[in-house]
Amino acid sequence: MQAYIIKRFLQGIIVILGVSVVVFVLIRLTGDPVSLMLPEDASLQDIQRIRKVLGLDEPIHIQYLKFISGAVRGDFGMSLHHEQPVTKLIFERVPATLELAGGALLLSIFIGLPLGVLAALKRRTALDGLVMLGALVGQSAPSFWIGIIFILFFGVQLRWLPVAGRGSIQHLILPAFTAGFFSMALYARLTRSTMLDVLIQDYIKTARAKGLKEIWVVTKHALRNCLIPVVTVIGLSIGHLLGGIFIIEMVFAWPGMGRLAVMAIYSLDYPIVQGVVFMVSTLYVFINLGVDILYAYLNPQIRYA
Amino acid sequence: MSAEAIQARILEADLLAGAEKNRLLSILGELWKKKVVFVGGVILFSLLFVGIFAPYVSPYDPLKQELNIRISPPIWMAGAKAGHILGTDALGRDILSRLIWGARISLTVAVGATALSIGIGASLGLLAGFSGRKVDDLIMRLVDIQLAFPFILLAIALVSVMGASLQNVVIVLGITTWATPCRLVRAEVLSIKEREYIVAARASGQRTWSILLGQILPNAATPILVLATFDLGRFILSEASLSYLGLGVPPPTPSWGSMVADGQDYLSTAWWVSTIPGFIIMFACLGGNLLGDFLRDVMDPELKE
Repeated sequence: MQAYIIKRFLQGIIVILGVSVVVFVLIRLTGDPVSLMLPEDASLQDIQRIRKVLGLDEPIHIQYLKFISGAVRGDFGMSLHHEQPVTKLIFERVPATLELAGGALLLSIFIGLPLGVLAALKRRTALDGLVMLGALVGQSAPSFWIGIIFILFFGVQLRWLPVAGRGSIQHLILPAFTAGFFSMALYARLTRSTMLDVLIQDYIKTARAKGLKEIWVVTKHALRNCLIPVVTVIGLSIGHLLGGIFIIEMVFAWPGMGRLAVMAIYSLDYPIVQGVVFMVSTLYVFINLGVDILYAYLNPQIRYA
Repeated sequence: MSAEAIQARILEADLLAGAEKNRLLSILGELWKKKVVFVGGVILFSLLFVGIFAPYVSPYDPLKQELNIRISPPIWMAGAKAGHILGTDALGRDILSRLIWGARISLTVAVGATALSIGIGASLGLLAGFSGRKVDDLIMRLVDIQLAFPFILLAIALVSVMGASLQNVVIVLGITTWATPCRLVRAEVLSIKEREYIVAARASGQRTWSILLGQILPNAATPILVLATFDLGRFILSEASLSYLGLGVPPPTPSWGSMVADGQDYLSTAWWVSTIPGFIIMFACLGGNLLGDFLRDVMDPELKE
């Protein structure tokens, strides 16, 4: 187990180094980023000044070393637009993003899983059909459209919930539900198919044959055994959830990291884009690492693969 | 890992449940299935038709502004303007015509990105599966790095650097999603490369590339086809997300995602401007998913290996 964790950890480090190279190259892909940042009539002095500030006058490998040494210390330089350190700007918005991601995750688990179990138990009934149809729509519909439909119904028509900004728990409901919609559909479908697989196993027949009540058969025997793949997918989809939140934050004017990054793209504030992409990707790698280790712990067969 | 990886796991889980599912499939279920596939096929082919023949089926020029009939409602609502079946947007442009021309953009991006993604992925997968340990390890680390980015985040960052254009959107979507087809093809290669007929082909002196293209690739064609069908739907969604954020094909070219974004400002007074394009996006993506589901079920035995 220990050897496995070390191996996976080292792989994770390599991946993060690769990510850092991609992020670094990304910003320099089109040649001189300074020309993109400044208006076309910028003076030569301005260009020189910005190049100096960004350290673009140094050789490329020095630039990369500076970037990576700054990155591991959490220093991504200054924002061009806000005149503040990128790290500060990002960390100010982390709580908002985590709140939204956490809310979305909880909603999708506590709605998606029971729906999946229900659909499996009532398979080939109207309820099953309805849940699966909903899941199919949930996986096909663009998240921003779902958000807009929610805004239209619960905000504009019924006036039940606020549709923009952050503050109370009411502010969280619509964005979290929208952000969790895809995952909800995913978990419902996966739980259903895993559950169907488990329900035909011999130990379920045994449990039923010995006269155990159906509710215990389902919760104690079936549900437990279908949790491993479901938990794995939940872990894996946290990253996807984080990515989706970038768009949701724009729909609901949610003051998080994603909105910061997208706004930074509009104002060509590259240090922010660089910082957010690097941070979120690193977070992503560590989440996956955690999930893999948890998975290996739960399922010993994996360790020897 | 990303959405594709999750999708792949669901694919596995569905396959596991497949045996049970087929036995339970009643005649009614079979019919229902065919109807569903029929719907999926009809959606995709009508979009294809409309997209190809946009100049002939579109009632108006999608760029023509008639400012005196701004935001007129669809034909079934009071105050509709004759001839504008789905109403007009904030600049008095015919929504139906813009949707029809938007189909062209969506399908061009989806088909182009699918081809690029699978082209890169399949080539690297063949290479990884058939070459030695070192090349395989290198490619698999690249896969890890690609999967370490939340896909939409990487796409947003790339488009923002490369500039928004039809060509760049296709390239970005293609190069951010090759990891899944790569793993698929590699797994396929590994599973069949020691079979007798491959060994025989080698022993008879066939060149490696001719074995790869003539013997191995055809064997991997089935899962690739299933993946490609799902990809069509996913890329339609991704293109819409990018253009919703203003990072897709630049205006005034009609694109479904940007139509949703443009209409969002008028949500409280004119719901149709934003929600109708969103509905079409969902519908298009649903077409890909339905067809993909069907192909996967039909090709069960091959996929199972």
